[in-house]
Amino acid sequence: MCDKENIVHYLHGELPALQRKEMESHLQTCDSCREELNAALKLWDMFEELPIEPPSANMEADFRRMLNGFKYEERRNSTGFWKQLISFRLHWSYSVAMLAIGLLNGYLIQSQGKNKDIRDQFAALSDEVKGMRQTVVLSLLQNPAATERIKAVAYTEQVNSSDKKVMDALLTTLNNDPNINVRLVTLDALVVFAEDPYVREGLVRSITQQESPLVQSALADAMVKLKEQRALQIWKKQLSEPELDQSVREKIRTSMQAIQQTSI
Amino acid sequence: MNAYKKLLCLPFLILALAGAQAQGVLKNQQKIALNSPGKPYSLELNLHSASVMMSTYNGREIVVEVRDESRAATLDTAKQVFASSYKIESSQQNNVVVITNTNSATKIVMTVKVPANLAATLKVNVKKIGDVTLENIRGNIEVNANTGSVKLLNVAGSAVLSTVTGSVLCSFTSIAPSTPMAFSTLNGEIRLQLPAVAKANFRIRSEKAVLFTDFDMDFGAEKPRTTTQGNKKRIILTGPMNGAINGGGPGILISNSTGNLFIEKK
Repeated sequence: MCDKENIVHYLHGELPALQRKEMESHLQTCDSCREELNAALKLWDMFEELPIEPPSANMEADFRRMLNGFKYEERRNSTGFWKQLISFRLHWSYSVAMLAIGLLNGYLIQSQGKNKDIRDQFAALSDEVKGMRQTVVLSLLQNPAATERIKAVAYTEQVNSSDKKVMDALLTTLNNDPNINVRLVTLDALVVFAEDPYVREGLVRSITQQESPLVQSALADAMVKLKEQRALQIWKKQLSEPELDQSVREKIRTSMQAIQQTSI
Repeated sequence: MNAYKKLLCLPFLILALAGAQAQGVLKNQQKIALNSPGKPYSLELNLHSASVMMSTYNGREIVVEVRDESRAATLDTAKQVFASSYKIESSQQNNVVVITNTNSATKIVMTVKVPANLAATLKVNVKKIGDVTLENIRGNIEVNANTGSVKLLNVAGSAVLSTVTGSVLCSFTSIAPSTPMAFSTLNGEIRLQLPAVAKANFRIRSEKAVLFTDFDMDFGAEKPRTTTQGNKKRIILTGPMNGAINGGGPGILISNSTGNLFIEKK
């Protein structure tokens, strides 16, 4: 009598002595169960090989602050129908994510030692981890505290420009964040990814979105650094607008010259 | 159909009435009692043209005083003018206090006293003209000014400050661990005073500024031109630079276009 569910319990050492003996003798006779056991062991080995990221020095402090921030937010959000509705949605999505991971795990354990399958699903799991990092960045970018948003921007050093969701979030932050400093930090982070045509175009488009002279002049610096020809047209138009800040006007003029010189 | 529409309007009307009740119009001086006194709170000032002076006192309420700058010299007559003419409103929900001024014509002077030794999240936004000075505050501070200087004296915690035309001065008695900060202006000097043991990774964006510091700043591979005078160093910046103090720590952005930079031990 095969009891495949008990194999997992057996591996965890959770079976009472009697059932344990039964299982051991059963495993000696039943090929299919042995295969199951080996597949599960192999999976465990693969999990063992997962690269473990070394925790950063600030991890504990960061986590504590995040936790405190969360507690504080929770307290703040404890009233209000809409807020409760939103938080309900959040819990709901958590549950779904957990369920998905659970199902995936269950499926992995059930699969009959097909290595390739396991490897595929392993890749899916590592995608999941990437997705979680993305989630952390995206949710921190919504934090009301500017310091937390700056921290989120710093985290994006660990993603690459192919992560379009994060790039979109950064570009949105660059164009819409209420805090000038957050925009400045975001601009610095985006320039690193400017090899990517999508990011580059986003930066060029951002010129017309900025009202703060600080961001305008920082963007001018970025355009010069990237030798971006498309900026020239946009600036020509901006120079004809009378409300443009005087120091930004000068900045744009020198930046135009710099780009034109490098293009010759 | 019409009745149905009216019925639809009713909840909005109730909401609007409730909202109006929750908001108060500030008089010249107003004491705002926190929903949960003694607990961490948030205070946000959204002002048009205003000089803001904020400091601490031994009390549990937030005390706000407003006056017209043109009447600043004669305080007594100013007291008779109600702040309602400056269109200043305050609201509070769960220890989050928001004070807004929608009158863009008059430049005001706002003095705020907040409870001492109580952690706060403070946001001060001055859209047009006015200096912002905060003293002895503890917490997470954000200031966005436009034409005017920003001064933080003997504060503890973290700060994200910006102005366009004006200097930025920030002196910390202690800084929050592993919290990034930022200080920026377009035209003006930036002076940052930190505890000698502070750890930080500076990102300095400046075109032609000179950086004065008595910290040992590690610029990595880059070797900017430096002259030393006693324990003070004078460093000429030629472009964006990254420098670490005390082995590095959270990122601190220092950004200006014209004006010197000072990073000093407190």
